[in-house]
Amino acid sequence: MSQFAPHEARKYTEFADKDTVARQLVDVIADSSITVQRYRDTMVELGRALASKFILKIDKFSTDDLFVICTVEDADFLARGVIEQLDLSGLGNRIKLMCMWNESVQDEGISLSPVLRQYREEPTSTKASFIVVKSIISGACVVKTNLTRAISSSDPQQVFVVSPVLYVGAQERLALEFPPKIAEKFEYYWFATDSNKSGEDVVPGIGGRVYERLGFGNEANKNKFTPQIVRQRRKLQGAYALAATG
Amino acid sequence: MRAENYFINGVINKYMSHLKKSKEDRLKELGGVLSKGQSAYLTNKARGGSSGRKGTRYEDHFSGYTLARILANEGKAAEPENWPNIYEQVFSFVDDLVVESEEGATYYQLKNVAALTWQGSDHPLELDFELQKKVSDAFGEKETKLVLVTSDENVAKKMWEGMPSAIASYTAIEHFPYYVSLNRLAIEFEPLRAVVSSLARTGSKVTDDEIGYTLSAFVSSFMHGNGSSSVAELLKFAQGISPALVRLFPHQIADLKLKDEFIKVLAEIPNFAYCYKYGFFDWSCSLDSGVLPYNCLDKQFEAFQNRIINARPTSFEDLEDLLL
Repeated sequence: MSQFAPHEARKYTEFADKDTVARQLVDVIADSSITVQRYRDTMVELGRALASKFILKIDKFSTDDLFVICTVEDADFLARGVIEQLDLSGLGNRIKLMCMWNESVQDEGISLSPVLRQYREEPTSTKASFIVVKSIISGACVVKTNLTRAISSSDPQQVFVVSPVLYVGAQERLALEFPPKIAEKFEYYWFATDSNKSGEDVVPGIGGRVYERLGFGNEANKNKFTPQIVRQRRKLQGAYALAATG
Repeated sequence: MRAENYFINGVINKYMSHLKKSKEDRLKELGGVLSKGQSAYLTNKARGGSSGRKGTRYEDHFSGYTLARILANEGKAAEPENWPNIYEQVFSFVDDLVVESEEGATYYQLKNVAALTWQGSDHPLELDFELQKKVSDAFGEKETKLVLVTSDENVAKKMWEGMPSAIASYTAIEHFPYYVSLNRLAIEFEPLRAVVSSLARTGSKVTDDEIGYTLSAFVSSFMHGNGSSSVAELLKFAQGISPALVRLFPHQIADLKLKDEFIKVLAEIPNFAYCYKYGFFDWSCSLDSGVLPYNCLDKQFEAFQNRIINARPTSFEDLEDLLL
């Protein structure tokens, strides 16, 4: 029997039912006893597993941009896994990374996640699909903000919303935040739906707050960090720009 | 009545009108103007208004939008003591929101409904509007405007076309949509987008999410108040949210100046651009961009300038961790 037993309170999706490895991965991150390194590695694996599901819906013959939209804390792990899998499938040259540093505001019943900083690669096509990557979607506040930022400059053909775990009702909450013409493009890819909470934390969810589990410390600390994938891709983008002008 | 409402940063607000008087004083003064039945109706209507305050989100959204409109129109030029007052759930016949300025008062009645008439129900809207004008005249208001705000565009059109001639000279209709989400309102409602964009903290192209949280800050400011506030006071609440979400106005940043050495260091960093015209340090460098979470009057901004001066970064890679 696996060390990471399935949780009775959680419902596994069709994607998890058909992929026993993915199903186990989503239970691994719910375990609060695993090390930071294992948690990080598992998030990368989950990114690959999730990408392998929605990749079938991407037109391989198109040249449209594929914007991977993520938060600073997910960039080097879950989003990296997604990007690696897209790359393995021959879609690497269409990937554009959009990474955002969100802060949290709670004021008189209003909950916001304003963007303090963003890294956004230049589009090379007039058309794009969005792949919104988030370690867990509960209130959908961060996903709402980052997707809203992304649609400010582009009208996507497809919007894949990708996460290991959703809290029950997350899809409905996210849809309410957008005009129907945007919301009807949302296609969700996830492995488990949880319906329990302890305070603000979804249980079992992803085993607590993702920035703590990934080793960033508290919420403020995760914003003081530039992901490796941003540094690496920025260098590459610079190289492309030089090649284009040279 | 709370006396502190008149004081904004030590400035006495000039509007101390009848709208700030107590319910009892207002009724007393209106003794000869309203019939017994009309006075009783007004008292009951106000009671209903107060108990319906919590969760009236359409009203909250419109209040936030109204505050933004005033600031967008007047905030950049006028001194705060000349800014209007805003009252919610006033003891009046048209009672959802009142904006009082030097020119007079505008009363808003909000209707988030799919069907509406001027004459229907025991207390027709037409009569409410007529009585409101009568009361406003009795209190000697300079100029009174009454506005019916509806969430349904077709209702707005129908109410405009069927407006009774008796109230037409002082009544207007406005359409303001209702969505549960402020984010969706910010994305969809063009008139609001234009207004709120000019109040965002970023000087570069304002994105849809920025419009959403700037609007949220204005809506939130009403949750702090007691239903009767000056625009300056509401702005103070909206700007007090951390991280800050609302721009600073010219009168607030008249003395703002960056340190010479700070300017010199940043000038050496290739492709680095910044703007602080709206009171926030809003920067970009090629594919990266951002805004500091505090305004340029905050002590943290002085510390930030000192960190840059001491570290003397010469590339964005050296600078980026200092921007977080």
